[in-house]
Amino acid sequence: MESNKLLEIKDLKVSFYTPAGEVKAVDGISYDLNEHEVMGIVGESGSGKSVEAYSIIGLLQDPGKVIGGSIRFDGEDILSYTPDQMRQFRGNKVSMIFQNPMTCLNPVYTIGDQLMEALTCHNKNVSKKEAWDRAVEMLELVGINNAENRMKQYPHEFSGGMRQRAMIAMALICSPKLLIADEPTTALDVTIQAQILELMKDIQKKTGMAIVFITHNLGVVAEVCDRVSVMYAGHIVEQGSVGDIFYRPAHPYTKGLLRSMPRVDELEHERLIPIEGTPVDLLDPPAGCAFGPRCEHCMKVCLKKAPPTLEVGDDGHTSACWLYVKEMKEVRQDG
Amino acid sequence: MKKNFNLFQLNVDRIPGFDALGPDDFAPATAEEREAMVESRASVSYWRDAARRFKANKVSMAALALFLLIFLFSYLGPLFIPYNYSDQYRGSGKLGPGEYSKSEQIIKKAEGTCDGFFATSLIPGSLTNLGRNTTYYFKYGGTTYSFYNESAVSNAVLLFNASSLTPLSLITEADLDAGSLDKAAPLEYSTGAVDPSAPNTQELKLIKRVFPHVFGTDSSGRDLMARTMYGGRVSIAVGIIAALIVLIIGSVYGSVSGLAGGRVDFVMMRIVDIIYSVPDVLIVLLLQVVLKAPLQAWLDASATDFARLMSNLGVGIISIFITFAALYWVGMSRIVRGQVLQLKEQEFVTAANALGVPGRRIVKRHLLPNCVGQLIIATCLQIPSAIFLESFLSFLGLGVSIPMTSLGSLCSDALDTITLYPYRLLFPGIILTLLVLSLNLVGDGIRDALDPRLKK
Amino acid sequence: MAERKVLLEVQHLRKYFPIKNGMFRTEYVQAVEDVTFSLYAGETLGIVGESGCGKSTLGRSILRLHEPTSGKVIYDGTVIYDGEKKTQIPMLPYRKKMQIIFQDPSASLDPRMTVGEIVGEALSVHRPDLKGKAYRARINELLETVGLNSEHSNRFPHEFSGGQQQRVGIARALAVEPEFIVCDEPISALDVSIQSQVVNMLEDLQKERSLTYLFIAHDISVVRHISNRIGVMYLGQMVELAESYELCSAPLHPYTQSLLSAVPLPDPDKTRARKRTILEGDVPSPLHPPAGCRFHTRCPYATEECAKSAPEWKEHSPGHFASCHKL
Repeated sequence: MESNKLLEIKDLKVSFYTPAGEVKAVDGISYDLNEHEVMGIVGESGSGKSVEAYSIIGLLQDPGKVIGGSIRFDGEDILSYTPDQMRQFRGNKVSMIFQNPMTCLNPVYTIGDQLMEALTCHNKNVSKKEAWDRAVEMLELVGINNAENRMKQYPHEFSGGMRQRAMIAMALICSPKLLIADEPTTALDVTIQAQILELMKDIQKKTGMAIVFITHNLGVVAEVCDRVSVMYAGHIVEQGSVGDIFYRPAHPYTKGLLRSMPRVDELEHERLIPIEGTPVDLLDPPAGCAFGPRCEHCMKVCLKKAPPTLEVGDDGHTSACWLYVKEMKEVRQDG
Repeated sequence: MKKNFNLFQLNVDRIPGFDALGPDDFAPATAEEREAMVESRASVSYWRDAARRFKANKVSMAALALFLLIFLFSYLGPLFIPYNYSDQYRGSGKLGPGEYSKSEQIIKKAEGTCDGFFATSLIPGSLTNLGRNTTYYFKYGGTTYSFYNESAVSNAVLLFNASSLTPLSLITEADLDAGSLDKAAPLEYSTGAVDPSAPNTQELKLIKRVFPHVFGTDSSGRDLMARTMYGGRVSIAVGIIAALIVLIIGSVYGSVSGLAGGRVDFVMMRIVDIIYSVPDVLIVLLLQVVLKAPLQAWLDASATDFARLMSNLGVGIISIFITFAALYWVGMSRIVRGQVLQLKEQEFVTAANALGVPGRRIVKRHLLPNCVGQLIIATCLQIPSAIFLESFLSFLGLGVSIPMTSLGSLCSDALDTITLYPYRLLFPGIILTLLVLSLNLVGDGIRDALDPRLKK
Repeated sequence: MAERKVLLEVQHLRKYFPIKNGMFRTEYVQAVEDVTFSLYAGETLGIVGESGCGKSTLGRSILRLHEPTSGKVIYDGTVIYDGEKKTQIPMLPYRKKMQIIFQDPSASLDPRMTVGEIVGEALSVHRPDLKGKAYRARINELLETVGLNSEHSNRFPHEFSGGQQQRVGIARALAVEPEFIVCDEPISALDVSIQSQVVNMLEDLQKERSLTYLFIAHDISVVRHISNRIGVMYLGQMVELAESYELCSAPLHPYTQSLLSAVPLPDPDKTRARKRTILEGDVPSPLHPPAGCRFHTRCPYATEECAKSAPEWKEHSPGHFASCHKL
């Protein structure tokens, strides 16, 4: 599939300087995102998945700092943007939706005001009438019935699912090329989650925008994403098409995650195979592979050096694991 | 696992040190090796963690140092200066910072050439002159010097130089103005033994040098630095005692209200609302007026140490304490009630209930320890506000009674003469400001250290 | 099916929470409305439902951590709550038999107490005979049971990861050697890689100590995995109750059907190919639940009858209960 690269992230490093020491929240991740593509970023809490997204949109908060690498959007280096350029870039070309919609909507303005403001702050020459019509159109797009009346309501009059819909409408009102969705369904119930996922898939098909979908839920990833990056302790440990990740997982962490999940479609009771150990202490990460101490295949080299990222299959299926180096070594020795 | 060896071979160059890796590196790691990677950090208790956070907070540490400085200045300072807050020195009135009275100027000049001085103006109060028909004596180097004074001499300086031909000389009031040592008139003396119990015999205490009036003096000749120190003592003590009163009443009331809940809570909180709506300054004024007479009568009547201390501080301070006890606990009681209500709903309390832990034990083991942080924070922030209120009332003339002083009353006294002697307001004003500021900053620091969530 | 011992019987249990609305008006949140089921000794009954469906309140009302509004709770043959007769039996002996594990491990552990004190608290209430060495030995034994060790007992909860905190919570519940444990969303606050550790541990403990679980969760995959039977709750009511395989493969109630189809599967081909019933709208407020069948506002099959009368809780096949007019 030939398509243009929309977002190129190279060796991005983000650190938080806390009183207790430096926390390498994102420690050298690279990926490309094509136009119209949905990239899932999966990881547990503290894996750095949200931090990475916040740095794309320039909303990284103190004491977090991008300390290395580059982020290019449509060929432009966005890390060199001035705050003004960043504001124009945000909302216009990239928008973001968050886990908790209530904290992102201002309770003292109507939904309509907030939608129209999102549009007019980037397009000064839009008339009030046009903005209103566009806002109503967006609300209808995200499946809010009776949009004209809903425009005049306040956030507290909306239910949880409706608020997330309104948030999506607001994010999409300037037709961004990229939407960053940070755990958009985590705070929602399963039946509402299904509605929102259906809606996002639908809108993605209609508008063709690219999505970076951050979640900890592998089921959600399977449902909506084209490609997946699996993150662990600030590193992308595996990356590939959704099929690669779910049917041909290469990294022991990915495999472990898939094995440890109970499935509603399991036919008989099978004991889960958990990943042993406790999550990484980011203040004091282990030397070498961050997953090493929890990995069933852990080798001596894993505790000394960080593994290289290798292509392990077609279509950019990569994995950062010493096991593949070991295999290469064996293949070489055999001739 | 999908294998694609062609791709692997293409990639070899990208792996640093590929050739150096031996079979040893690919041997499985032992459990111990893995464990070693996940080192657990040392156990930190809540309090030690809070202390660490507080120490890391530079502003609060500086404020704490400043507060300690003011505290030491107020409480230990008086030990190092010869002046008292209440003593009036004749001829020393209205001195500016670092200035000397006339007699002190003379002594200053003679310092180094003489072995000791006596200035009548350096004796506070009534004894400001050498009485008539009195024998005065002092001891120096094993010898007792005595002289007989016929007529009263006021505001004079006695110079003593043991090695001189005329060891004793006197500069009288009229000659002080000239400021010259030449006017010193030799004084007749004898070196025989003196019977201290004989009538009209008094011992003199010679001084070596004069201590400067660092902050100057007030119109009555009281040393302002001594007064500022004592004022600081009163202000800090009032602040701490008032905060403790508030803490005790507020936390008892608040926790009872929060724990009882329901109708009891409702009634108790409406009482708090009513007290909140009472104008506090008005109540203080009323209390002062109403309490003054009976309190004074009670203080005069009872002869306990406590009553003496209180009467020294004055009726005003007592009514400030009463005001705090009556009005200012409401804020604290709301904080405590809120905390108790919140804690009651916490899952660890539910868990204790599910285990059948009796109610009293839940209060003791779960609710109180979790309230302590909030109580400390609220008390720490109460101290500066109590100090401020006391100063404000003293400023209005409602606080301590003369000659006792507080930072507020010093400011108030200074205000009358602000155009002539602005430094009189400056010193107590700066100390008061720094005291309140440092305590507020320390309180903020303690809050951030004990409850890091609040900061975010 | 062999006759099994009924450990717990819940009959027509109701729990309403009063909400002060203005000065004098009081409204009631109908958190649990007329729930009836029984629990067999040694089994795990899963309770699944969305937020606000009353599943946690149900668990806590059974333990009388909230006093129920009406209904009847019978534990091991003894009536521990009867709304009509106003039975108020002292719960202390039952606190030893019935325990609870909470959702948020960091909130359910007192931050000012060490892990040893937290686990030991139950011992000092129920086993005053244990003192000194024996007391400490028992605490260490409990910590080891849940995969922690004795050196952890002097540490504070905040020094542990979520998974370890939950283990402490489990050790505390086990301290009194209960027969029955209400697991109130014990794994939903944990990271995915830790969840399965805790699930496995709960299963092991159940086997070793023949525990009976009431396992409450919003994630039907987990409930499906751990439970023998599953009850589905919607807006305070139980809408379906069946053996877990049967419930997941042949759900009767339309809500159960949509709940199952809403769960995303970690299997891209399967999850995308499947036909889903996506429910319209949101869950109504339990303050003013809809008349008739509470589900009728969102039910794809709702008829006029559904809006008028509430369906009956009936056994449709042996052990498979549901309440729906359509059946």
